Amino acid sequence: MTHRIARYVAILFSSMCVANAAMADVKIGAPAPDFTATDAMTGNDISLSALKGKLVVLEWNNPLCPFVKKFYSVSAMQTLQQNATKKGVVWISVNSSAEGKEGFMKDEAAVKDFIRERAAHPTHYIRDTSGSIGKLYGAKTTPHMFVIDSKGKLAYMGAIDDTPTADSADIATAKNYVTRALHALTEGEEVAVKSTQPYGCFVKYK
Amino acid sequence: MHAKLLFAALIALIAAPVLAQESTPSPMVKTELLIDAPRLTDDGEPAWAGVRFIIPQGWHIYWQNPGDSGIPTTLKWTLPQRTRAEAIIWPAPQRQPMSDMVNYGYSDEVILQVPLASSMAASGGDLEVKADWLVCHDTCIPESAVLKGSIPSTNDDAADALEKARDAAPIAFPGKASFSADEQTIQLTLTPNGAWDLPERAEFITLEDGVIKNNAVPEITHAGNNLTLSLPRGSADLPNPWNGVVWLHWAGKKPMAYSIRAEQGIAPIAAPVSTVPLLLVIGLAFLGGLLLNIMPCVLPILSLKALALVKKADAAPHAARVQGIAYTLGVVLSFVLIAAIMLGLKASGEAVGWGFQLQSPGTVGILGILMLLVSLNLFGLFHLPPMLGHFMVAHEGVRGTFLTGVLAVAVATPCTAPFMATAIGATLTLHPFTAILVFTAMGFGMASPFLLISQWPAARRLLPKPGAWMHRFRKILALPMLATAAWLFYVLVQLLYPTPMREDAGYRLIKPVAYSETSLAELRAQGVPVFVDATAAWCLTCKVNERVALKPERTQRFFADNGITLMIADWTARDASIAGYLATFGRNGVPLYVYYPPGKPPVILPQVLSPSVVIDTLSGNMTNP
Repeated sequence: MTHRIARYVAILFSSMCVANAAMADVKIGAPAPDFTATDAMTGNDISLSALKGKLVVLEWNNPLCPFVKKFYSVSAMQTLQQNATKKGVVWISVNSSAEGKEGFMKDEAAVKDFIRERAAHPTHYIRDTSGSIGKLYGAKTTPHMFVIDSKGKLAYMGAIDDTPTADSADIATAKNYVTRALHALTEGEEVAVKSTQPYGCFVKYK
Repeated sequence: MHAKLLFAALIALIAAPVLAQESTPSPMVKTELLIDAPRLTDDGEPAWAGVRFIIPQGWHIYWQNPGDSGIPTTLKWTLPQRTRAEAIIWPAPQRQPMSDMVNYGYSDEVILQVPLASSMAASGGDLEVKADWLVCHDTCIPESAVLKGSIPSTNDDAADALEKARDAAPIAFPGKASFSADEQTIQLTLTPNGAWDLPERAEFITLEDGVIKNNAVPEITHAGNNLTLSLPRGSADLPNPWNGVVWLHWAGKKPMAYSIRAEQGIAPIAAPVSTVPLLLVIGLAFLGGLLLNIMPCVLPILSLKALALVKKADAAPHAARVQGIAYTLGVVLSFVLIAAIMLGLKASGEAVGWGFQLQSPGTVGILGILMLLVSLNLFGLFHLPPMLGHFMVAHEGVRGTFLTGVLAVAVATPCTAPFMATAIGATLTLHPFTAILVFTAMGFGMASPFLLISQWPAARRLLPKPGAWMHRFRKILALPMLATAAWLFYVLVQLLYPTPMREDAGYRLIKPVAYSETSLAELRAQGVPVFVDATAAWCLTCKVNERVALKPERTQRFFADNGITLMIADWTARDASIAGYLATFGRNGVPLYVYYPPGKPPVILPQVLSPSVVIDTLSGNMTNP
């Protein structure tokens, strides 16, 4: 009897360990993992499941990363955000930088400052300082983009575009995967490119 | 007043470039252009140009596949007319772990170089390279440098450094790399050409991203000479081929990096010879040859010959002994001839195995007619003209006996006796001379009973005394010969007008599928259990096994109930992919029965099947739900 208990405990323990260490296993076509977090822009809680019926974009953000700056410095990301939110898309910027690491937002005021200085247009901005949402999605880089359809299923994940450089001049000629995914989903078409290797700085987890 | 303005303007002019320079910080990574191109020719003499990156301690830059984050280092060359840069020679990357994620790149110092190819009229001139890279530590900085030089040019230090870097670059793995996968894991198997020390640890750096989880440490298993790395899958689809760099670690030796090009498919079993000693192979060959005598193909001829010998032997023992040797020679030389033809065909690239003579309609036709004539002769319906009288089984002359031996071997090939398969399979990897030795042993095995009878009167006394009953016995034995002839004609029809074997009406409860390397891999990737039946229309043992073990309702029901797919590899006609499949198990003949439980390595079943053998073996290897 004790032997059996010991075995079950061992299995439980090891599965817990694995869950903590591992990055997530999100799959295209599968439901996007649900989460609840505080929106630093308003102080209210938001949860992904409440957003069913709308298209959602998750953008992993780190204002100090050169690849994020590539887009923000020429207002490319802000334009993307504005165009998307105007069409009813919910754009959530997520910052998983841990305390003491590059890009860490220490409080809501820091977030509001960033948004104001950059004239950014996300619907929500989440300070994921514990990194739990990042690990839930397996976010590896900034930027790392996820597009979720109106049924809550993951429709695209990966790079923001097809030109992995830090040069803003490359944005104009690059193929933007997020724009294309959103367009396909609004038109009821198949998303052509569903998954790509993301590029950017590594997310500054704990 | 004007002087002050002028002075200010002068200062501004002088200061401006200085200020401009200060506003672009110099890169953290120092770069140096290296050129070893003493001549620009098109005679294949390589010329090299490269960039040396000197990276601050603790920082790294990236490989072609940066891994979980980062961007690859790039070189953009501007070259004079009629000279072009080919692909970068990438030194072996290192895994750079970063909390939960892993990048692939370089630290300290790395040289990335390209071969320069010139056409005959290349004149040389200025050379420029724009290097772009991302250097990371706890933060990442994209950097760039433009380096200038000219070609042709060279210097000893550059040439040395470039050569050393090339020598240290990973070479192609000396062997075969293959992979197979199910939904969760991918198994990469390395099969070296020849013996090696099995590494204790290995790491795989994938070129195509997302195939594996970059942060995984592989589980290593050994099977024979093979090394298998078991890795968790990533989110990307499986590429084919799958490329990357493997780092192998041994105790007390420097780790080695090899570049890998893995093909999806079943890994070959490495070096069967090292696992089966030659003496054992020869022993098995002899035993197999001996057992051939009781196979239905050979028994009629042999028994008649034996009885005829007994009849005459007591009267003329010396003649009997000579006949024994003649028969043995006939048998052994036929085996050697078949082996020689088989090896010759293999050397010229044909995918042949044991029974190959029956894959050719011409041979089958001739054998069929031969059987027919012999059986008609045994019935007493047909008398061959004296010239062809040699083929009459009862003929007693030395030549006749010799040819009887040849005939016996010819008709023996459809039957694969137990033990023969291992012996014949071993010849796949043996030196041709040794292979012929194995076949000689088989010949001796097959000829031994007759040889024994011919040499020792004591053995003869064990046989029934000849008498009038022999005439009826001849007619009785004619029946299996006739059946063999009919069957050979059936094989001929199958060869000329092939109908897929799986449409065989005998399979009512299950629907067999045809073998192909991709179908097998797909079914395995889906987690479907597969039973492969490698067979041929001319293979009697195969037909018997199918009739006795696979077609019975009990077996079919077991397959259907457990979702096992029956996959038939029909080797009636020559088929290189089936020959290759057999070779991966160290075989070159049929039958071969392999069961693939989901997520586990394949299990080979014995060559003689019964329903219980099949069902018990498969039950014993089911994955626990």
